[in-house]
Amino acid sequence: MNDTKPASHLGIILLGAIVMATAFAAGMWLSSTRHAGEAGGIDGLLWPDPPQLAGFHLVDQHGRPLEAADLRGHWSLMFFGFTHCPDVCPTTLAALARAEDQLRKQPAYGESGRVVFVSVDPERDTPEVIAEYVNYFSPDFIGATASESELRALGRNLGVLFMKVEQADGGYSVDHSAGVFFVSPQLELLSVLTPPYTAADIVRRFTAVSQFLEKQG
Amino acid sequence: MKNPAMTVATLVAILLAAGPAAACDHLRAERGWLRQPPPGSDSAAAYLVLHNDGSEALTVRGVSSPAFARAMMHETRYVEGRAEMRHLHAVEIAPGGRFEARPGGAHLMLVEPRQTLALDDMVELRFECAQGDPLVTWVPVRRSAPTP
Repeated sequence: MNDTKPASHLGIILLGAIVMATAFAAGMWLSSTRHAGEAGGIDGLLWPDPPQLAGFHLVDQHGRPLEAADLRGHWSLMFFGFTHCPDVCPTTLAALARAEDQLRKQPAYGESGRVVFVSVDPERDTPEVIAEYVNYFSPDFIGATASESELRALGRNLGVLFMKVEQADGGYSVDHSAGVFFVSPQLELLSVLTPPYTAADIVRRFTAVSQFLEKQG
Repeated sequence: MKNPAMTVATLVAILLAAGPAAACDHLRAERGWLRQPPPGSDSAAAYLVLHNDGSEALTVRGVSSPAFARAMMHETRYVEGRAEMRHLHAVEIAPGGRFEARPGGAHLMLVEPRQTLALDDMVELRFECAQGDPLVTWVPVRRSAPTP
């Protein structure tokens, strides 16, 4: 069933991944237990002490620097993937485009909210490739990538895992966290919607999280 | 359909499909479609439902398409929120059973298109089985899943 194996040249730090996954799962569990009652019906997961988006240095689809500060002041729905991903990435980005049509009508998201697609395959996904790719789904989408070390740092910050795996046909794929990451205008990672999900699920989660944030004042 | 060559090929395929040969011993395909690969991507996924209308189990051993350099049966699995794509070497379908490929699950991964894939073009898929002739089916290129 499974003939894939980790690509040795990428130097995957499995132990680190396991520690991160465990910490991530534990954090999500804690958050769900601490906030389930007080959130009054939020069906999702909120971080107890939301991680702040640390300084990162990405390059956007126009070849311009994209830094954490650029996301301040509006909501960002972040998704990590790669353009050679045949199934999950186009399915998710299409769902995000449909969701965004709905979210534009919500004042919290408004015209300034952005979907941010971060490619975890900088070897193949140049800014030019990413530009064409994200524009297919929505001209409003931001697409970005960075060096592998920069992506790993961002991954540690947000709890995003990715791992290159060789395919039977000689190519490679990248296993990756496939959640939608809800980052507030104050750059706090407030929630992660884990797959599978629909456009309606994304809208529901955003509505719940943004309303919760509003109540917190 | 924008490509005349594909139109002819489609007709030939329909004639072949209507012939007497037992295609993969009672294997039947329906509700197929291929997600148009976005610009910049050389990988596409096709989805469909395969039925085993026979009285014996069937084993589908692989898929190919003349429209792509490579094709594989794949499955997306979610492990702790992480999407993993894995090769399915074979798919066994019980008598009267079905195999459903759908977004976010099993799918046919098609790599390196040999032609431009415009919306509504028809793409040939060939399924090889352990027994019988291959099943040839044609699926339309679409931007998103057809509504049931």
